[in-house]
Amino acid sequence: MRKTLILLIALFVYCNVQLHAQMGDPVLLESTLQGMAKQLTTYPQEKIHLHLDRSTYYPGDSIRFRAYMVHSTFHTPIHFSRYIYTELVNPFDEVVSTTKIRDTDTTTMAGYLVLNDELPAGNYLLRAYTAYMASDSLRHFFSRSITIVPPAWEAFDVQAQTPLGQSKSTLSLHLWDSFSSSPIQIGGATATLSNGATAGVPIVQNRLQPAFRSRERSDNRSMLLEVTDVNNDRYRKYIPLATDRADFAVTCYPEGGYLLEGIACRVGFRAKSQTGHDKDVTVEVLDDSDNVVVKANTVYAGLGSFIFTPEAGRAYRVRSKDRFGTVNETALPAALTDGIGIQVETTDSTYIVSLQAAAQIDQSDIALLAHVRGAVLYFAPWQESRKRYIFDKRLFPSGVVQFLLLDGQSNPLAERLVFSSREDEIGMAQLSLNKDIFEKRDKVEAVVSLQSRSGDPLSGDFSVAVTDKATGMTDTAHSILATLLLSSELRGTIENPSFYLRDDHLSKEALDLLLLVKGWRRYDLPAVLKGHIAKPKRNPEQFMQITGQVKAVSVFDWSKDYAVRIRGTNNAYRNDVRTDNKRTFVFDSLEYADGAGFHISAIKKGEYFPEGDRYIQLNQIEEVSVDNDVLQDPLSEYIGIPEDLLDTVPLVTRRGRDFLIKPVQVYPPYWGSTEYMQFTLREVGRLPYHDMTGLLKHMGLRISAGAPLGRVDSEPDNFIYSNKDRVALFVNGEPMPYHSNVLYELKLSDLEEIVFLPFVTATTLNRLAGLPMGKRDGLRGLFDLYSKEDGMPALHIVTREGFDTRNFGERFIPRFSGYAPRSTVFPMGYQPPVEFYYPIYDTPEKKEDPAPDQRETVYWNPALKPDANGVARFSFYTTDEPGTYSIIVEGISEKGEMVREIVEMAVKDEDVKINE
Amino acid sequence: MCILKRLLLLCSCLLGHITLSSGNTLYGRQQDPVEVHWYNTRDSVFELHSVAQLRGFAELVNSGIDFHKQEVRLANDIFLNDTTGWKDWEQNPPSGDAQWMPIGKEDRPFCGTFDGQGHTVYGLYISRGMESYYQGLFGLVLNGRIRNVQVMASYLRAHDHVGGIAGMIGYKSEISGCTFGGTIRGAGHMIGGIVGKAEEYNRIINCANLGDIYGQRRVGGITGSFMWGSFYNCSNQGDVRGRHERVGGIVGALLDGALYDLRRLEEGYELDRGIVRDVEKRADRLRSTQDTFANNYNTGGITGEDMIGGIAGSFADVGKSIIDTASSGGDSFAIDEAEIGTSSGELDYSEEGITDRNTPIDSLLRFFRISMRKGTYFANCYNAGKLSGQYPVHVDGLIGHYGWNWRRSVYLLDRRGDSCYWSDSSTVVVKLEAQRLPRNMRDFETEVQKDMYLIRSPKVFEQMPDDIMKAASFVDRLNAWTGKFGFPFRRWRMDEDSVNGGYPVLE
Repeated sequence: MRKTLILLIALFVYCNVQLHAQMGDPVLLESTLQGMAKQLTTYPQEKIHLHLDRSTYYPGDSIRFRAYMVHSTFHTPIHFSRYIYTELVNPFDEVVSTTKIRDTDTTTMAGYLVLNDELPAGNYLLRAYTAYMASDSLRHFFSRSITIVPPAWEAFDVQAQTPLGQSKSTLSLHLWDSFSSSPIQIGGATATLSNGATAGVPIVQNRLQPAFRSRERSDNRSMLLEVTDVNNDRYRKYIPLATDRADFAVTCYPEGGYLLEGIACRVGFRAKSQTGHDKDVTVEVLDDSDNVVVKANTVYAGLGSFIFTPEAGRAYRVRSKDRFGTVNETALPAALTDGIGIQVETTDSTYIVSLQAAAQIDQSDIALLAHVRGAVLYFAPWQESRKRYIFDKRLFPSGVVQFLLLDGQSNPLAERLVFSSREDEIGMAQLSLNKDIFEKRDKVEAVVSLQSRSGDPLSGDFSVAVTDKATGMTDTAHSILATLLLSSELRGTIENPSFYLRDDHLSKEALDLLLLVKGWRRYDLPAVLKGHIAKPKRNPEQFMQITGQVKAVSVFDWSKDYAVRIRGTNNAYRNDVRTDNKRTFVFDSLEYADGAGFHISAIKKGEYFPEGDRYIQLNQIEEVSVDNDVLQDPLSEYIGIPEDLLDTVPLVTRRGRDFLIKPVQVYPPYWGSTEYMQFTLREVGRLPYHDMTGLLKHMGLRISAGAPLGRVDSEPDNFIYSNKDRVALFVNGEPMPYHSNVLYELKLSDLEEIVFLPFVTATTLNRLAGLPMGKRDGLRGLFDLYSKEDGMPALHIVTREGFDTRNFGERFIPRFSGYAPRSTVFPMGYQPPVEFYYPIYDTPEKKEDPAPDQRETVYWNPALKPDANGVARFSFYTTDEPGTYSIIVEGISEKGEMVREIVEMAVKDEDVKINE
Repeated sequence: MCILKRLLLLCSCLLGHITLSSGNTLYGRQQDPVEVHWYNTRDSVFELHSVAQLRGFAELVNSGIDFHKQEVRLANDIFLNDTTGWKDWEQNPPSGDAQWMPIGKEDRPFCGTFDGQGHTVYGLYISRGMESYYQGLFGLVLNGRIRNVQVMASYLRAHDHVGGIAGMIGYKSEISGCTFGGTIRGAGHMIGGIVGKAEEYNRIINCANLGDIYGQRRVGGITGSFMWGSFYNCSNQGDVRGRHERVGGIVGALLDGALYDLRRLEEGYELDRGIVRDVEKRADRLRSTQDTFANNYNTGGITGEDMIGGIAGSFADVGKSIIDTASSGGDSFAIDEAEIGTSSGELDYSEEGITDRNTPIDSLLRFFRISMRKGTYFANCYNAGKLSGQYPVHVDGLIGHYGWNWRRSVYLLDRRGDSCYWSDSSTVVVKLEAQRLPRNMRDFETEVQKDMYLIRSPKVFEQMPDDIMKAASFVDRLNAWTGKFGFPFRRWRMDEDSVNGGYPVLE
C-alpha cells in the first residue's frame, strides 16, 4: 500500500508538477515522500463538497444536495466512509435538521434536508461530514452558510441605529414594509439569546430597543428577534446584537510570522467588528513619537496590508478608524533582532521566495519545504548563498501552496500560503440548448459535453441545478473549485469563497491577503518529518449498529445474564444477542433506512420477564459539537439618505411575487370547521420526524394513557389528546376508538394526509362516525365524550391507497402471549433517495392548467452521467416566471478534474414581443 | 306544532318565494321557478303537478314545515332536467345546471307522507362537494313515509348519507314501492341506491335499485346502513362499489348497531332541536315491533376492500368491547366464550331471557333479543351477483362479516333465519390463510382474532349451482317459502323478460 502511495504521490508530483532536478534535494525529498506516504497510508483523509440546488430557502423547503467525497490530497473520488451526515445548524449552535446518506455502487450520494415551517429567518450553517472526519480533532468538515428567508421577511427593511449618547449596547430598530414603504406597527417583541434567555423588548415610538449587558454581548453574536405586529402576524429572525457601528478590533499578521528590525516587512491585517463582521477601516502605523509611518486601507472583507521597516528600539502601534470616526489602537509586536522569516512574492508566472533574516542569524541549518495539500513538492536546505528561490508557477498543482521554513530539527520557523491556479486541471462543460429563447412552460432540452482541457471526454458523476436568477437564489458564492481548492484547506467558514477565485485584480489581491492571515493544518508536516505519524481514531464507518445497555431492574439486580431481542416493526430484521459482563449489547452490521422501527426487549434466561423493553437503554449517536461561525447579515447603521440623493441611489429590489402560494389544499368542509391543520404526505416528508408520535407532537398533540371508552376500571391504553381533551381519531373516515394501534403501527410513509381539527361539533362527529343523530349517545361510547357534550377535537388520517387498516379498529390486548413491546425505537437510518419532482407540460391542457407554477428550483438532477463521449443530456420545463435562468453544472471526474459551469438562458414574457 | 307556528313558517316561505322571483339567488333554496301556493294548513292532502311545485315542496320542508299528518301526492311524472345524455352528467352537467335541493335537511326533516302514485321523477341532478350530506330526492326523513315513486335517469354526487330516494331516514319511517335508476357517487360513507342510512326502526319494502352505486364504506344497493325494522321484497341489479369495507348487494351494514350505547338508545335521544314526536315512547314501541329481513335478491356486481357480501356487507357488527357497559351497572358483562356455539349446549336466547331489564346483562344479547324477538331474519334471499374483495376472510356469498364474534351471529341466524341461497359462480372460495394482523402482532393474536379463521356460514345458507338458480325448480323453492308466510311477501317468477340475467324476479 505504501509503495502504491509513493508511486501515486510521485505520479501526482510528476504529472502536475513535472518535477525536475532543481526541485530540492533528491535524497531529502525521497525521505520526505516516504514519510508523507506513510502518513497518507496510515491516515488517509476525506474531503466533502456539497452542490446545492440553490443558496436561499424558505421554511418548509427542502435543501437538495449532491455530495462529492474525494481524497483530501489527490482530489480523486474515494469511498472510505459509507455514510455522510449533513446538518443544518442555527446561529445558536442547535442542529435543526439532519440527514444521513449512503454511498453504494448503485446510488448517487444525493439527499435532501427538510426545513421546518417554523424556522426563523437568518443565516444558518450547513455542514457535512463523515464519522471518520468527526473523529479528527481538527474537523475538516464541509461547511457553508445557508440563508433562510420566510416570505414575510421578504417585504421588510430594518433600519437599525445605535442611539448616540446612550449605552452602546442598546439597539434601535425600525421595521419598514419595503413594498408599501410604510412602517410596520409593532404589537410586541422579544429577544432570545443563545443560552435561551428571553427578554421583552421595549418599544419606544414604534421602535424596538433591545438592550444587552456587556457579558451578553461578549457571549453572543446574534439574537433571535421575534416581532408581532398589530395584526398579530409573527416574524422571527436572527439578527446581530449591534449595528456595524459597533466596536471593532484589528489584528496584524506579519508576513513570515515576525517583524524583523531593519527589514521591510509586509504586514497583513484584518478588521472585525464586535459582531464578527468584517469592517472597512483606515489604518495608520504610528511610531512611539506619534509620527505616521505608513497608511493603508482595507481592500476587501476587512483585509488589508501595509509595508514598513521597523527601526531598532522603537515601538509601533496601529491606529484604525471606521467610517463613523470610531478609533481603535493596537500595538504591533516588537520587531525581532534575531528572527527569520520568508516573504513570497507572486508574479504572473513565478513565486519568488525570499529569506528575511536578521544579520546575526546563521542560515546554514535551515530548509525550505513547499507542498500542496500535504504532497511535498520541494524540500531542500536553504543554500546560504541564495537570497531567494524562484519557482515556476506551472510546477505547482492547483490549490493552496504552503511554503514552510524549517530549522535543523524540522521545527517550523515561518510559513506563508499562496494560491496556485492551473486551468489545465479544470474540466470543461459545454452546454447547448435546443432554443435561444424559451417560453413559459416550454421544454428545455440540454446537451452537456464534458471534456478535459486536452479534449478527452470526462467520465464521472455530475449534478445540475437550474434556478431563476431573478429570485436571487442562484448559488454563485460556492463552487466545487472554491471548496476543494480553497475553503477546505483553510480554517473557519469563508463567506463567498468563489469571489477569491475570480480572475480580476481585486479578487487576486483579496486572495493574497486572505492567505496572508490564514494557516494550513490538515497534517502536521514537521511532525511527519520527524517521524511522528498521526493515526486515525476510528475506522471509516461502513455499517450501522444499534448499541445499548440493559438497565438494572432494581438495586439488587446483579445479574449479567441477559439476552436482548430485536424485532423490526416494519422490516424483517430479527435477532437475539447476549449481553456482555457490563450488560451492554450490540446489533451490528446493520443497514436500515430512516423510519425503520424496532422493538428491543431484554430477556432474562429461564425467567418470566415481562415488559423487557422498559429496561433497555440505547446509546445515542454521539453528538458532534458545533461551532457555528456563520454570521448574520450585518445591520447597517441607518444614517438616513439625503432626499435629493434618493433618485440616484440604485434600489435593488426583489421581484414582488407572492411567496405564500402553497399547494392547493382541499378544505375539509365535511368536518364543519374552517379551523384546521393539514399536512400532506409531501409536507410530512419534510418534517424531521420518524414516527407518528413525533408528528403528533409537532402538531401540538400529546399522547397519554387513559382508560378506554369510559371504562374507568379497564386497563389504561394510550390515547391522543389535545390539551385536556381526548381526540376523536378517524382513519380513512372510519372512527378509531383505540389509538395505540394507529400510534405504533402506522408509519409516516403510509400517510397520504393528516388533518387536525381543534373542534368538531358532536352532531358532525356523530354523522361522520355513523352514530345516531342524538347529540351525545354515540360519542359517549366511542370517544369517551362525557364532560364535553358540544364536541371535541378530531384527527383524521388518510392512508395511502391500498394500506390495510383493518386491525386499527380493534383494541390490541395481548392476553395470552405475554407482553408486547409498546415502545418502538427509530434509530437514524440512511435517507432513501427521492426523485426531484418537476411538472411536465407535454399536453395543451397541462400548459393551460391555471395552477401557478413558481418553482424556485426549476430543475435539479444530482446524477448526471455522461456517456463514453462525455456527453450527457437532460430536459425540463420552464415555469410561469419569465426572466433569466441560471444552469449550473458541477462535478468531478473519476480522475479528479473538477467541473463548474454556469450558463444562462432566457425565458420571455408572453406579453412582451422580442425582436428577433 | 301549533297552527300559528305553521302559518308563520308559511309566510316566511311565501316571502322567500317573492324574493326568489325577483331574481336573487339564496343559498340553500331551489332555483326558479318555485311554487308554494298550493300549500295550506287546512288540507291534509296535496297534489303536485309540476317541477315548480315539487321545488316548492322542498322549499317548504327546508323552511321548517314538516308535513306531519299531511300527505303530498305526485299527480304526474316530473322532469327536473332534460335527461338527454344523463349518463354523461359527470362530465357534462345538464344544461342550466339545475341542481336538486333535497326535501328535508338537518333539523328540518320531512315527517309526512309522500305518495308518488307510481309516477317517476326524471333527471334528478346533484353534484356537490365534501360539505354535502343527506342528499337524495329527500334529504332527511324522520317518521315519514315515501311510497310508489321512481327516480330515474338521475345523477347524484355528494359526500355522505346519499340515497336515490332519501339520504337518511329514521324514527319509524317507511320507504315502499320505490325504484332508483341512475348513478350515485358518494365520497363518504352511508351510500345506498334507495336510502343512505336508515337509523333505528324503519321499513324498506318493495324497493328496487337499477343504478350504479359508489361510496367509501357502508355502501349498499338499497341502503348503506340499516338498523332495525322490516326489509323485504327488495332487489338490486346495479353495480355496487365501495372503496373500503361493508359493501353489500342489498345493505352495506345490516343490523348496524356497532359503536352504540344501547341502553341510552332505548331510553331516548336528545336532538339538537326537538322535532320528532313520540320519541319518548319509542323504546316501548321498539319492543313490540317485528323485524323482518326476507325475500330480497341481488344480481348486481359487488366490489370493495373488506366485508363484502352478496346481500349484506356486514351483519350485526357489534364489537363486544365497544358496547358501553359502564352505564348499565357495576358489573361488566361476561360471556362464557366456551359456551357459545359449542357442543356443550345451546344458550337460551328465547324471549324468556329478557325478563329483568334492570339487571346488568349483556347488551349484545339484549340487542338481538330486541331486534329479532319476532319475525324472520334472513330468509328466502338470494345472491347471484359477482363479488370482489381485497381480503378473502370477509368476502362471502350472502354476508361478508358476522361481527367480531361470529359464533353468536351465526347461531342466531341458524335459529331465526331460513333458507337463503347464493350462486357458486358469485364468489370463489379462497383458502383462508391471509393474515389480518400486522406482522409484528401475529404472535399476539387473541383467541377472538384467531377465531376468525374458523368462520362458518349459518346452516340455513346454501350455495347453489348457478344454472339451477335459473331453473324453475329454484323459483318453486322460493315460492314455497312465500306460500308459507303469504302476504306481504311477493311471489317469484322466472325471468321471462330477461331483465335479471335469467335469475328469478319478484312478481
